[in-house]
Amino acid sequence: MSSTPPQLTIQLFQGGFSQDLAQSGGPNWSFPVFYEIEAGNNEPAQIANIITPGKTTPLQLGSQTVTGSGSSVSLVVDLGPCTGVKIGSNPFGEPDCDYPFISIFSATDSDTFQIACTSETTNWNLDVTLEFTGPEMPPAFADVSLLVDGATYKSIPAGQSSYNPSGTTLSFEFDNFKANNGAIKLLYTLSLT
Amino acid sequence: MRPKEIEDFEPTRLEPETVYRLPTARLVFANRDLLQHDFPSLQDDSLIDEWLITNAAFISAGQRNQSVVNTPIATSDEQTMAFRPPHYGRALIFSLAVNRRCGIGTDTMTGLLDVKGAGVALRTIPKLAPHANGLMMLGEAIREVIIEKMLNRIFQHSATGYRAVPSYAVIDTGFDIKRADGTRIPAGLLVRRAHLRPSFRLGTKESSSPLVDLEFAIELLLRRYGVTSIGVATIIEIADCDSETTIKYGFTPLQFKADEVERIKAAANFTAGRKLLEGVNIQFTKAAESNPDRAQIIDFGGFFVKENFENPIVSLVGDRLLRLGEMISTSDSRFVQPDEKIRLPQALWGETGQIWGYEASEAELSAFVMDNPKILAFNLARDFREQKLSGADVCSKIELFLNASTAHWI
Repeated sequence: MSSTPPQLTIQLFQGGFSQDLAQSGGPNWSFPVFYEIEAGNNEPAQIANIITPGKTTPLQLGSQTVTGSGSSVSLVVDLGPCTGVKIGSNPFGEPDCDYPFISIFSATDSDTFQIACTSETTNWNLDVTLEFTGPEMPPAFADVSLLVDGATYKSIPAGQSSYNPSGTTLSFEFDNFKANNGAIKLLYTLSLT
Repeated sequence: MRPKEIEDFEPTRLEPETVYRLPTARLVFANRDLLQHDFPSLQDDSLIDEWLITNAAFISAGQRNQSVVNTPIATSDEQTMAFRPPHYGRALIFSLAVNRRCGIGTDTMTGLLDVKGAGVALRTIPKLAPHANGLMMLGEAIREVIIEKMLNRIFQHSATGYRAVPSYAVIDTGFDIKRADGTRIPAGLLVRRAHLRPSFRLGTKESSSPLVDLEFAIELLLRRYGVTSIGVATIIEIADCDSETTIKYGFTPLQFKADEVERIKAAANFTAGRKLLEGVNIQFTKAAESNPDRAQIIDFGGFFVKENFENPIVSLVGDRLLRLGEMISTSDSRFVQPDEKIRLPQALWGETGQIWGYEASEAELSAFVMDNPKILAFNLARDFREQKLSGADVCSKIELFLNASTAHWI
């Protein structure tokens, strides 16, 4: 019996983001993570944490092994004075690439979140919901695209949409992001065809 | 229909979370009649207080793990699973059945409780900013109950079928919220009847939605009583400044391209100077779409009472630039002012700075809004926390306030 793929969330807010790396798995985790900051920064991000229900791990610059417990794994970053970060992780020990998740978030440039990586061309089913905050906050804005192998595959509209990309890497790109004190939330489920 | 089981929500969109017992929580007051209506097994009055604390006094793991925005939160080992629907920043849904499976409670009841102020999601960073700390001030919870009850009196007085979604109870968590200026304010939980919310593709309704006319109808009805849903968060300001046009939404300055600014000015009928547009902020339950005559509204923190109304009203819609939907100008025949016979008294509801001997504390004065119901609510909250007032005292002062507010109605 095939199980329903988990729904994962990427949320961009003023000066940071949160990203689900796993919503099912565990109960114990031990996986590699790398953490870099944009050139020119004197300090790392104010917050760069890997969170499992049982543990919050502040990331150190460079490579490390993160451990935790519980069914989910999330990455949370609040830049503070730092202008940008790049964080890669491999929570499920994917053999095809060192870091299937690579999150690049910048205060001044576009933001990219790689969500899948394979060694051979793969056909995927991807369901996406792109949400914006409600009227009590100013409207947030971003041009959101799905990238396949680094090239733009489709623009992602607000609301629900579905895709069948084929390639070796999948990423979401957020361009012209303006939080305006609000947030943008992208929820997705990814499965093989 | 109110949801009674977790399955009544769209299941894939509910995010389950582990939450932790707040052993310091105390019930402020409960709406016993409503609880006994919604949970018929709760017939023994003496069990209700404990039942509420048992099933609703929890805090999220994301909140418990930090003390940046609150004083340290004492929790016990007792845990249960609660559920966060989409766009619930600081509220969680508790299922009596799930609680029981987690070893919480011994009764056989089913049903749901919506608890506001229960903390942020695990992956969210609580911040010292509006709508960002995951918590609810105890005074804010009491003010919401005051507004909810006032709105329901207005809806009944006007013989309409609209209703405010009622709350079951207010709970004092026992810990404090920290403010950016270093002051501390008691944190509370507002336990509400569970409800479903509409799902909006763009975060809010679109210009073609029937909810546009409905929100105008309710806003204009409330304005006859001096009440408005429009607070500072949804006021749009367009102004000429040093040969440039500035645009703010709430307090946030927004940047637009030159052609977008021109489109916004045209949509707002802006010619020169400074113009304020008041964005209606009435939030509906899902059933309002199918049964508008009996629409129920939620979230009352942004409701205020004004002496008069001076600015155009605008519907905030997701499919328009700056959310500028249909507008009702001050010269429109639909634009109304409060009716002297039924308007709520300014002495009770205005911003006179004191009510019944209560004054705004230094901490509260730093807030943007300081209306008399807030002064009353925050002082009741503090007096309850300091055990100068009992929950029954708080309840009775709220009833006195409401009765004084409507004594002139025929």
